[in-house]
Amino acid sequence: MDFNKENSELPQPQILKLDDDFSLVKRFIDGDESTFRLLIQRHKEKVRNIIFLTLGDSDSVDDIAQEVFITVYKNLKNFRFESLFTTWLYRITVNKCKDYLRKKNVRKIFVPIKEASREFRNDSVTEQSDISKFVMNAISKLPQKLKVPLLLKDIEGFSYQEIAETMECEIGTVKSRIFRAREGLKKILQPIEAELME
Amino acid sequence: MSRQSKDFELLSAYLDNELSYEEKVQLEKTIKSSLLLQKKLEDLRKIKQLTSSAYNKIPESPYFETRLFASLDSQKPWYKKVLKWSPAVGFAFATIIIMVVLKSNPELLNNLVEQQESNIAGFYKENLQPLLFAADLNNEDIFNFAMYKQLPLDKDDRQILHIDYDKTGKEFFEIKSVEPNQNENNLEKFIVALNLDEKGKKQIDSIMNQYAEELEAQILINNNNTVAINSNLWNYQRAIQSDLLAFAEKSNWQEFQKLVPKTVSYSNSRNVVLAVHEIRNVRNNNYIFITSDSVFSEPIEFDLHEYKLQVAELEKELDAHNNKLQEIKFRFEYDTSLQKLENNLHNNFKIIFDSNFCRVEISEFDFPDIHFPDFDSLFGAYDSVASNFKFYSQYIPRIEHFDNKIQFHFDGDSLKTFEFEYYQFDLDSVMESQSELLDSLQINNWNNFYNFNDSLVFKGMPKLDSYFKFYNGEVEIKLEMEQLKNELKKFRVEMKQWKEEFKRGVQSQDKDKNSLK
Repeated sequence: MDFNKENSELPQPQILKLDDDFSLVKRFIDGDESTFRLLIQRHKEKVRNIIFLTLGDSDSVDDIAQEVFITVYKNLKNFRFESLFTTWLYRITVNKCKDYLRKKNVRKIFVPIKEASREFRNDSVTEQSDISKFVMNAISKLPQKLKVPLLLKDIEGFSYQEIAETMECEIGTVKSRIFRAREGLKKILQPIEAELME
Repeated sequence: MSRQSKDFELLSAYLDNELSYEEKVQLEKTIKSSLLLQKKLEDLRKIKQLTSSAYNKIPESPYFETRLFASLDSQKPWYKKVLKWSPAVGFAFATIIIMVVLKSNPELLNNLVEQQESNIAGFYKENLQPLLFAADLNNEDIFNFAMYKQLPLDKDDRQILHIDYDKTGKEFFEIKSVEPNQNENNLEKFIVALNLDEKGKKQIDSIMNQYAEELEAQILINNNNTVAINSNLWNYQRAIQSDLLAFAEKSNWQEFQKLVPKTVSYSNSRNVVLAVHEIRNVRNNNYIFITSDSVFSEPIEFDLHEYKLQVAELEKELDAHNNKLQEIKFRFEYDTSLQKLENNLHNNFKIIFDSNFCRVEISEFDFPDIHFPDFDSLFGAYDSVASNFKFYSQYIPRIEHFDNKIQFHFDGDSLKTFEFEYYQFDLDSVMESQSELLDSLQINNWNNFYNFNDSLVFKGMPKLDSYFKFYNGEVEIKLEMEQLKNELKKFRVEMKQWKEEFKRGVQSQDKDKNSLK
């Protein structure tokens, strides 16, 4: 009997991400600040994408991501291990995005109309199809509280539970907001529905 | 919220796979029975598809981490930034403290260094004993010290201590190995050169003994590979040398004149005696130590008298137990630690080191200052004696001639008297013996000429026949010889006849004279 083959077919134990993040955070709290670089390497792309999805604008992604990690660095020693590190991290990310948008909205009042209309341009991100541009433009018109749960679900693949913890709301609220976002999106895209639904 | 809206919301959650099992089963049943729900589900699915495929991932930012850590560094509180430099800050702080302490107490460092040095010196000063006792020096060694400035440290391996002055007049000493029998019987040669009688020899011996005792305390050694040299040793060498040569001048002025350059005047020999007296009375406790890893100077009180008493007591005790005081053998072991001090002026000592050689140049040291009259010219002349006396130390033996021998007499030593016998040579006998030899070779057999019982020589020699080809071998020689023999026979016969005729003629002349009378 080939035991090796049998063993290799057995499900191998997975190293939990939870443990990895927790152990890195613990080492950081114990004084090993080099682990912070590992945490950044593990999560920076996710954070940057959430920011991009939330803002719909790539220009400020890195600046906000920097702020996110600086906030994490400053507060990591107070981390209480009551939730996942990622939940805590994404919550900070979303809050930073909210802060940014709030400030931006305030600023927009004092900015000339032409310049203000440049918002939500995504040309610099990638060459995308016209449909994608329409869809992105439509999503950008959604209210922030609907748009963010929708994108976290459909783009980042978060569960309702994760979205609820990130957004600091109930799961039912998340469910409702995602549905309303889809309904709103359908209405916005109605003029070109025929083309989209082909 | 209406029932329909609630179902639509459930459809959205159903698409996201966020319903419980029961909710899912229930909803699927409802969907099957409702075209409206089916259409709504399809719409929501398409919207979800559009949303999911609308965004691409944002490209990576290559300098994100670099920027972030730069920002973090700039935002760190000042004390954290200082912590980064804590080793340097700590060092600087410690330096400042040390500077302040040293400023307020300048003697501290010196005291510390002195304490350490005295600790080390204390180790090397243990159980020091005189070299003369250990190396069993004799008069020859002391004479060599006076003349060649060398004292044996280890007689077996011929390791010597050499003291001298460099070109600028600075003292130095060397510990090195020398070839055996380099300076042998020099004292004897010196005595011969001066043509001293028995009384003179005894006086020289007495001078040596006198200094031997005093030299004992000048070089000390111990088991820690330490040699301690009294700084008065250089003066002692001058003293013994001066004393010896002053005595030589006094005992045989004529012979002494041969040994020294003519330009030097020794009219002030009294001053030399005074200087020697001064050296011998100097109380000097400064010793220069050379050890395995250091060279330093330290004053030590060495009481030779006390030391001898202790040794005598020890010998008595050992005698009581039928033991003898073990002979001490000393050899300075060269240590590479000394090499680290090489070319560094360490405590005024410059060290030059090799595997079997160590030289210590003493740049600044308080040597006992003894005034020698006409120092430069006098000692220059004295040093030349060391090389000159050997030339005059060769015995010219008294030679006696006899009829058949010559005798060489070395006075006072019958063992060295020898004779050379010879015979009056008889040339005829030599010729006879040589012709006998030629005859024995039997001239008709030339091969005997090169029969040397040496096959190699024989092989290398050319055949004589090759040189005598024109003789046509032995036949012609035989013929020639036969002719020669015949000629000689004829010659002999003719000579016989001539002799007889001559005799007859003489006899007839005598008869005629008698008849006339």
